[in-house]
Amino acid sequence: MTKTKIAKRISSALSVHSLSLDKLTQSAEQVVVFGSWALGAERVTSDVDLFCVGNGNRLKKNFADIVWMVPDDVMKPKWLGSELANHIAKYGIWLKGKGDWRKSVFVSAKSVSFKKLLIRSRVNALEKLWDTLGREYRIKHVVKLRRDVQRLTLMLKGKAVEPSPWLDLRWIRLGRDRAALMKLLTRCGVVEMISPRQWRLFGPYLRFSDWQFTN
Amino acid sequence: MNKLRAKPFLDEETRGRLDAAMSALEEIGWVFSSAEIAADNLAKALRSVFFKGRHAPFAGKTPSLYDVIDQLADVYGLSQDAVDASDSIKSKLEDSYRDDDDDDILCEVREWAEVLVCKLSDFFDSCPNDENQDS
Repeated sequence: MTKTKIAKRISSALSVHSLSLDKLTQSAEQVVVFGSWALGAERVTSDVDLFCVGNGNRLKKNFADIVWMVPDDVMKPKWLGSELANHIAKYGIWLKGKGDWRKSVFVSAKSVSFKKLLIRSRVNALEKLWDTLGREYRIKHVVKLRRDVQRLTLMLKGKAVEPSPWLDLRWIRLGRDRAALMKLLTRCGVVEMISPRQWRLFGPYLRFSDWQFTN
Repeated sequence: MNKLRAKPFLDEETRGRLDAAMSALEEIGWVFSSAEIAADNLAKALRSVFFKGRHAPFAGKTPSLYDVIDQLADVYGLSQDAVDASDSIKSKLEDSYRDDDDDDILCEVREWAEVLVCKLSDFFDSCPNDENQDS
């Protein structure tokens, strides 16, 4: 899909909620669309993810998530090394501006260790609350755990994390089971993150092909 | 404005389950992923008491804690402060996912969680705890 077509569709989606893409574009140096809308894979329920460089306020609603960053910050290592910057640099579509910063992105050690922390915390909280979570929420969080492990493998190679639908497709090709996740964790050198008891709990949920509960 | 529904009877065991889910929200490690699970765990506990059955709102779905709290306010008159607190928890957690070292965000989440737990406790106290008692 061309940039103009994407802009038209986004403009129309935002106007339903009295938000003007034109006004947004006028007040920002750069406007980048990322997430499902950038892939042309949006659903009726998908929110519009926009990254804007300029002075504006964050807007987080069911229909849109608009993140603003002041121009000075986009060239700082903290941003350039982040998971989101790498993702936007590779998969984002610039509706306005050039985005010279995208040539300077790198996966920082800090963002890798934060991803590991997120995985460990999810694993431990899941085990602790497993009995009371219920089937739907278990599936939701096991899927999130699996996606985070997939993202970590990419980050450890210095690559940008892929959009979630692509991660899911990769997972289907891998075989969708515990052995496949074990392989990924071994490859990352973090196989010890999940204990044998946790494997027993989460394993059966990795095979579910029904991922309608995930966000 | 819709007419509010009568609050359900809360026996000791049910109240215990709800209290345990609220404690988990307050006690679990303040990292985005674990806090998200604790919030969903509380959402699940609330749904199982206040929105039961196949035709209840959210049947077969995984609504966020905010969605369930908002529905509790609509249907049973839970205070708006609780809705605001859960909304703040949701948006702050989303911020913390993108900002890996902002401890201030997680401090704010903890404060909002305290507000939410306080408002929910008041709400549970106002539910009948004796089968013969009117709400």
